[in-house]
Amino acid sequence: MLGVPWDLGNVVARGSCEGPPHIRVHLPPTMFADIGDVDRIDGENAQSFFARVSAALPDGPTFVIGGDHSISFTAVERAQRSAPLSVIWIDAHTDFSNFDGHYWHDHKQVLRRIAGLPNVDRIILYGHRGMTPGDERQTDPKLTVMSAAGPVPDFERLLDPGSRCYLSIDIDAIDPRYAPGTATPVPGGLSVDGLVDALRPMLQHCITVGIDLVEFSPSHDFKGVTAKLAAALVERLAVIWQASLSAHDFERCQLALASSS
Amino acid sequence: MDSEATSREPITAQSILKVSRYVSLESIDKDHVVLVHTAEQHRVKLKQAFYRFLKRLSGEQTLSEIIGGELPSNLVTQLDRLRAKRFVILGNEDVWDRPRRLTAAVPYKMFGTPEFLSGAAGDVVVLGVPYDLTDPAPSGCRLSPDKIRQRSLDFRYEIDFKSGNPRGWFDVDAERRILENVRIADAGNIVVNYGEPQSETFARVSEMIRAIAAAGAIPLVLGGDHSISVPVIACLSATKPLSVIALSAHTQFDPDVAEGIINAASANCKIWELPRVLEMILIGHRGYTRNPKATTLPPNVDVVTTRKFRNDHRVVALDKLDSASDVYLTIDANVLDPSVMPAARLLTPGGLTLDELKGVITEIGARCRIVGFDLVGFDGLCEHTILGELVACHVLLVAAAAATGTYRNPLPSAPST
Repeated sequence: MLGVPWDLGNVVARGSCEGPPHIRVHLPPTMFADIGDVDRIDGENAQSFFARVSAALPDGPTFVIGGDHSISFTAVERAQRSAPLSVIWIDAHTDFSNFDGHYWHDHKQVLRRIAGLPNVDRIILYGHRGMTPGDERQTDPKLTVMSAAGPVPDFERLLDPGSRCYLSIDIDAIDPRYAPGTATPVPGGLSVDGLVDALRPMLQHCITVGIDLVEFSPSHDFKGVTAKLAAALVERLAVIWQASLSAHDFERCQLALASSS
Repeated sequence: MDSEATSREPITAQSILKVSRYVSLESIDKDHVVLVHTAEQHRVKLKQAFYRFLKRLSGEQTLSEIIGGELPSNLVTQLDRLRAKRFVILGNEDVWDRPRRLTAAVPYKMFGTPEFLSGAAGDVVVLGVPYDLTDPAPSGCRLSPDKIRQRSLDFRYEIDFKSGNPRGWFDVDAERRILENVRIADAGNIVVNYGEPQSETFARVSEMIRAIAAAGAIPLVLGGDHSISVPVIACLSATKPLSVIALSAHTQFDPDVAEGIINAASANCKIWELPRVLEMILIGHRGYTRNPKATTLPPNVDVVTTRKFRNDHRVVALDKLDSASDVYLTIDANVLDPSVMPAARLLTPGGLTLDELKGVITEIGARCRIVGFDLVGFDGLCEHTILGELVACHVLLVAAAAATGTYRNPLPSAPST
């Protein structure tokens, strides 16, 4: 596990950089090989910080704890270097804003940047909902948007067995009744049980090369409920992931990551 | 206001004038002063000499005694101008020295919409009524208009640069665009003065609702406790008979506790007593009550409990309404389940989900003409209001879409993904 305490990708509301330690305290101490948080340096720009994140990412399968959603780019970029990669994006928003220019590193357009990576061949976004300025369902040919109100995605059908996947979970995909501690909550979200049940086939049948959980913000939380929920979600996904890797894929996954670093 | 001032006694040399108690100094330098009328929000910039003269208006001496001679005509003109804006009043005019302003400016406009000005209307006009003085417990309903407005800035109102028409929003859950080309404006908050009778506050509500209706717009009213719905509906039903649909956990048909005061607990009773309210449908009633109110209500009041709604999978009572029916929709935040809307007064478990409420509102919008709607009973003092504010914004967008005809059209087919 690696903590990435960065929230400068959110220009509206900060707080998610405080996420990793608040989640850690609720996790079983021996569950992960925890390599700690990437260090923060005052005044450091995004490019320099994410270069250090990339260097800190180990060769083995890593559970990254954010931080805002902009941090996912580094892990995905590294994971897609060696071979095609499908990205499973669990989020209330499409994160496809069309910003450009020097200060592009924003949590609202991170998925647009990921879609531009050469080996990312498919993105499945689940949990989309709410009132948006426009219809964002057909923003990019690589992107399949599935709403929270729609049917649960059948990942066994959507993804080939043994294909390489990266799973990124924005905590705002969960209904704010259960997870209020995030900067951009949207009513009508998923439940933890529903999400874990939906993701289980993917974790069992694909080679998941990395997972992240982002956008938990303690300063937006209410009596610590989101911290506990986020830790429970990490734990449940990690147990399934670990069993899957132990069964047949760990070496392949490690080799795949090592060759890309 | 100006005509009222000029129709009264003219200013002469024998007039006794005094400065209104609401006037204070906003700034002062060696040449000028800026006076502000705190109740009316008027400002005026005056020369130091005239300011020194105003300070001598004690309300005891006539103008000729103060000046010690003839009254210059330009002084009368200047005093008339100040009197029209209520900075000065005649000594015997105390009865006029009270605030007349209907609304106050607000720090944020709903959805970032432009200000409503008489004559420059929107299709939907937002009006805040921060009044909660009929709630016996400490209530934050007076805070809710501005809290909801602030959160609504997450849903920016945008006007297309080329067409000049509002873009509306895309409702991801309903898979359709809503409020496209619908103009929305914000009229601010009704002024609520300390210590005034409820009737004066509600008279301001009526006057603003009349102005909004006269501009051809649908009022979106942000309460306030539920009592504020009464003057709104009384005003709208004065010109045309209405049916009222009240979404609330409670029937709000309690008997009056104080003569002449409209109470939140008796709000629906007062609405039903209005001569041109044809019928009422109360949706969302549940919980434990002292009296079996649902069985003792007047015959033309339908009560649809949450359980009945779920058993029938719809509101059967809506069948009596058709496209010719004008309907006012009053939504108490506590119609929603507390897990969905934690920031409601008088939380009652077992309420509607957000999807269920949106379904009811869209069905009403598809069947009849919504002439106005309000959201009341939102508790701005609740410890964690963010979720409630967001849910309120969703409900108001759906209600505005229902009122402006979005749901009368068939659902467009969704693009394949």
